[in-house]
Amino acid sequence: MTHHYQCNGPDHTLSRRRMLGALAGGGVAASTLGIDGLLRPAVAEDMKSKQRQVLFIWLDGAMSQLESWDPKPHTEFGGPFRAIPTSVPGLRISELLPHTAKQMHRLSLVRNLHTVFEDHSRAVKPIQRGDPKNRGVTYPFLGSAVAKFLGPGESRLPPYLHIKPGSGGFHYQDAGFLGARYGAIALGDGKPPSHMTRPKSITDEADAARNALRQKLNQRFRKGRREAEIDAYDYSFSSAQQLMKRKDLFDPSKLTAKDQERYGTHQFGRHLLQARRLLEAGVTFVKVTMYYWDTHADNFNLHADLLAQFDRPFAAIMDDLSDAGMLEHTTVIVLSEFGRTPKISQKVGRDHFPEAWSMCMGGAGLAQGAVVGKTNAKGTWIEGEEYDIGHVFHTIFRAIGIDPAKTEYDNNGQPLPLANEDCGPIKELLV
Amino acid sequence: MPMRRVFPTICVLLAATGAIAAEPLLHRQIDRAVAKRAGGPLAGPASDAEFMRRVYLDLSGTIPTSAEARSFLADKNSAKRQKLVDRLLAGPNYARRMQEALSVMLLERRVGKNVSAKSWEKYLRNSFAKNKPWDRLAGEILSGEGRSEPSQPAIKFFVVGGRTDQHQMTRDVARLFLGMDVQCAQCHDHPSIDEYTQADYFGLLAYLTSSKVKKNPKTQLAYFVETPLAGPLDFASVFSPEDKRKTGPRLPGKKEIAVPTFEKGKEIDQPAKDGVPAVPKFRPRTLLSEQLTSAGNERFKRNSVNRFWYLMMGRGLVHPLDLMHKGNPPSHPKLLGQLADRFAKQKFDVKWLLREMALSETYQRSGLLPKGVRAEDAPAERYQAAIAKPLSAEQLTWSLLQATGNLDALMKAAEVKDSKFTFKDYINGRIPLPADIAETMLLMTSVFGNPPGEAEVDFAPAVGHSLYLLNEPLLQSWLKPKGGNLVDRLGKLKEPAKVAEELYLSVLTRLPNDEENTEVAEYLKRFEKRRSEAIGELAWALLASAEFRLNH
Amino acid sequence: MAAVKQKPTPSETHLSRSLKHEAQLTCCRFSPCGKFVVAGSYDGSLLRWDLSEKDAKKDSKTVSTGHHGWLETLAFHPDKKRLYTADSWGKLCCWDYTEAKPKLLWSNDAAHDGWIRTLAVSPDGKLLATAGNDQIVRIWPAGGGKPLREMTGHERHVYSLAFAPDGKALVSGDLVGRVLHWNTSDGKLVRELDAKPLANRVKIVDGGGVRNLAFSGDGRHLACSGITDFGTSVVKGFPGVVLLDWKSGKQTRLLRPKDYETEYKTKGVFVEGLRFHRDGFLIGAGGNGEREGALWFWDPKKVDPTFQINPLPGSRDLDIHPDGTRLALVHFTANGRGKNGGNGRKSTPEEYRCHHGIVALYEMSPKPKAPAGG
Repeated sequence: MTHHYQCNGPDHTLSRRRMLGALAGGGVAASTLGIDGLLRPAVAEDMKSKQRQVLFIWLDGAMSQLESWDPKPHTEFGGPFRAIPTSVPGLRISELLPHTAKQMHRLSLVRNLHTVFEDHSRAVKPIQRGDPKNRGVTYPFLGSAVAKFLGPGESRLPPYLHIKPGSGGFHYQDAGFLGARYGAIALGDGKPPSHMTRPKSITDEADAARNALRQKLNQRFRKGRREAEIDAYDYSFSSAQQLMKRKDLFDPSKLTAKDQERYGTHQFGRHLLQARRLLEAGVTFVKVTMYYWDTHADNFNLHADLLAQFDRPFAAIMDDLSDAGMLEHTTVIVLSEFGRTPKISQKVGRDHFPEAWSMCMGGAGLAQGAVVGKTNAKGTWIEGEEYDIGHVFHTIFRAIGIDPAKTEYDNNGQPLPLANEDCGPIKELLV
Repeated sequence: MPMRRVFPTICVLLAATGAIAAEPLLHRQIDRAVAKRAGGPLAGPASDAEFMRRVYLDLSGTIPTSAEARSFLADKNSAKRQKLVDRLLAGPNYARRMQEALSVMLLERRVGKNVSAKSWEKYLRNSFAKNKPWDRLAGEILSGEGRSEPSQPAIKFFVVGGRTDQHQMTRDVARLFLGMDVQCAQCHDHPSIDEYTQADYFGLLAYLTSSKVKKNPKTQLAYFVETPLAGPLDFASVFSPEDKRKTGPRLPGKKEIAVPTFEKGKEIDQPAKDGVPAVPKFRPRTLLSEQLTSAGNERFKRNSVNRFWYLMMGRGLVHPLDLMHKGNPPSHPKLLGQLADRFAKQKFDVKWLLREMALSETYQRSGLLPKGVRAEDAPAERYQAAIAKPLSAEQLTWSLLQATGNLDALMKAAEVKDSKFTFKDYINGRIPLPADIAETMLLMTSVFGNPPGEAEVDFAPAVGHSLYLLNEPLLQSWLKPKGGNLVDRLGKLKEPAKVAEELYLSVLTRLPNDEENTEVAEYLKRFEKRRSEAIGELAWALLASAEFRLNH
Repeated sequence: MAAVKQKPTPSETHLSRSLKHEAQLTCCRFSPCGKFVVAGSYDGSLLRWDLSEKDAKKDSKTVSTGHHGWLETLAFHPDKKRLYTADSWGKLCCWDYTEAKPKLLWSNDAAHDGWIRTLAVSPDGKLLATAGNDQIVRIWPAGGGKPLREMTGHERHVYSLAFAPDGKALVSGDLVGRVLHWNTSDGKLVRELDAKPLANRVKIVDGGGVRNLAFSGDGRHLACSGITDFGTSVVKGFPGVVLLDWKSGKQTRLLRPKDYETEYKTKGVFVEGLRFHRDGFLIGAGGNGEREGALWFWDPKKVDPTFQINPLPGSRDLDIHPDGTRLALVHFTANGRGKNGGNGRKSTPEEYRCHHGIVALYEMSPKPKAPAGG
């Protein structure tokens, strides 16, 4: 079994003392994720002022940069589609994203990603872990890391929820060395986990009384022991109870017809609308996965279909986050494991291409309407500076108020950088 | 509070008997090695209650009954711990416990219809009941073709869902029997682990590549048979595709086996007959089962003892279990070697190995950290205090049933014939509560087990688990008074102290302390108008506590 | 051209000539006069080869530009003078193809919003129909100008069009297997036909669709082609032609390659080119890569082809020469690093080039015997 302790600032002793203080003093489950006091005391104040949140959209299988963020119309590998103007003067993206085009003043593009992994099995996890240097430990996924840094916030809801097609569950593997409780609670098809309703035979009073007993037992038991497992277990109950209190978040009858029309009733539309509800409720990190982007055959027809499914709900959530003032504190990220080959295959597909691809991010903590880096006229190579996923992680962490230059993880006493130390933030995107 | 006590003299006595043998008793070697690398004070010995619960869970897969707990705690015999270990190893639940633990480890909750779960479980259970040497059992699993009856179910290891291609089989054989996760080495040498080479990977693959699932069209019986292997395997790194290489079957660190060439049509030893597939002359997987499990294969020995050690101690000497390589050295290198050698010398006697581990002070150490030592200063790999292990879904099921006193009734319930029970149907309210132990186990493993293909090593408390414990009607039904079950028994006790004692012994295998006695009394008083429900809630609180959820 | 009608012998089909273009080709047609074969390309150009040029070494290719994106559809007017082309940016062009180099007669930059997937000319030459990703079907006067009729009803991309031989009906096929029957004279929807086996819902994505529509000369059959059981990430699917009885609108049979279940399981092959021969049999072509293609000859009364040629390079389109004995196919040939696309890792920009396109001319007649003693 592994034992996981808290992430520390540059001053280990101080941080550790603070951490222990928090755990011993509070004792109850809420304090086990009371991280704001444990990490980088200097920023704690800023972070308290506004709960930071993240919307992370994972396009699994790899979206083609040429049919989206970095079109090369009417060139050797450009494909059939046009590029269209956007809300940012001079910036053009693929015609397959007409609604997103009107949101580009709230978003930025990175067009010079050069990563190393070229197949799914080796790319999906390392990309979401920021591809740190190998130190014999498993790094957390972005969502687990952010859950660790920011905690559940005032909502007390689980900080890392993952809306995905198919089945739900608990994806503790996402957490890596941070330990299971920072894993993702996966909501299969956006639906809540089972067992969300308490049997009628148990009254509120009885429920409170039995849980108070349970917590007392745990407090007694944890004294003098390694407490990580005990706290994680307790935390799983408090998360469960918080989720049960917010069953309304999953109630389809609370959706307006207008929202359903704007987001669409297709899978990704429903999932992104669910994501908005969770973000509104204060969930720290909401990941939404959309599959089936691996278009080795018939790339253009399939991308036309997939991007249409992505475009409208994505534009809708950007509008909604902006209208609600939430973009002030919500960072939005759209990412795949790599891009797709410029060269059009004999199956009219595009294959895997980590050499020169793009991503989109924006919202809180990031420049908006910016374009970082460029590829050559045919989209085959990057011209000028290149960024790896490590740079992206540095940038995201900075955007949510964590500076990897000043903070590190403490894995059982082993200090570990938050992000690949060969990389730094993408300066053009920092605000 | 758990009592601090000195180790019983039994260890000393044992040491004296051991002196007759040429080699020191293994459990002494364990303790010496652990003490040497403790790097700080060691925790005191576990209390009888702590020890009993732990050893019951580890060797019989369930907590004891309150009656068993009472009698053990009252026993004044200084050798009672050793006696308990021996009793559990000889007891009927030992084989079931090992079958459950090894099924989870080897199949990783994969399922498949080619071999029924029932027959695989029976096969494993019989193997452990007979204390089949581990090298033989592993050999049967690796070589099984499903031709002969007794070991026919052994092929389940290879024919479960998700292991249907030879690459996945190669990876899993390497992980589970050699402690090597060679996945990356499929396409090129492992980028971060110097020892896992692509040649190793293909050497292993060459043993398995010609094995295929076949079905007897008449009997529908599944086979996992070898077909003629045309020659060595070609491979090339994706980084240097021009560098084409070849390998025959080869174990990591061992010599390659030449693939014999036969004249066309002469590769077969016995032709197919009556739906039974043919037997080729050259059968590399049979060779694999012999070579891999031989005492000369250091990796196999080490991986084996490391995995049994993990089962008992909660953490592998090499951890993660499948990353056995120079960059991830064992916490106690010498001890790992000693365990491996002695296990082989003892003819891979599993009971002997587990017994030695259970008799060690290391195993019998308290889970409470030594006074003044902070958790972060006593990392798990130093074994300064006992490491808490999560109860597996199976241990949890048996223990919940045992604690709530519903086990006997459920075991007596008629088996549901051709059960259609599925987790999905159940949670969606389409079918009623589980009606027999198999359905109950299916529900519990669906909630508390990992998805197929994901190893269960670390404790992974999930919101789904907690929601289940908070709200599952089946659990609630176990907490209603019925025919001598726990809540029924407690309901008949008048005195709060008696209630508390029976409750704590039944659920947590220990006596309540003063604070807990008071708590129970106050709870009963507060809810005296609904006493039976209140007792159920008290029991629930204990069942939902970390102390119950962990094997500490 | 031969005045006497020649009888084709599909079983003797053989390659007679390959015409090359440096970019991938998407479509091809013989001119009604039989003198030219034309093709459209991923580089947006219109290629024309003069087949009367006997010297195969002399490249008679003309390249006409002016389109953007992909030129994926073209159609000849029966007047033996005009050729229509359209591109993926919505531009429609009309050329006099008989000139030394095709001469642009007129063009419409915004005939559709975006990708025009298909063109058809009515048998009497009066009308031109177009359709594409904007889901609209338009009927234009053959001489250009404003559309005469604009038909909406498709809810997904429209891939294929065909006029019935009597010219009274126009059919259009889309991504989800709907085939709509329009009245040519007033643009009214007459009925909806069903080619649903060609609609492939892959989890959340629609793939496949009615890639081609072809009427038999007697107007009895309408053939719709594409793929069934399509998969993309793990490429799979079976080529298929849904044959409809035009009168009843009912599906009569689903034509397949021979042994399609074993031969095509992991190839993801569509029936991309589809033509009825005037003798009543149906020719289909399709495939991917250099060896995963085939030519199938079906008797509309049978599911299995009466004859098929494979492996061939995978074809994107097919046409039958007016003489009835020759075929044109377009396919890709591997070029540069990365046979099937590749990711260009470690290759130089010179090596990293698009695949080539080929117009392959086949003759459905016995191969001329090699000169004796040669």
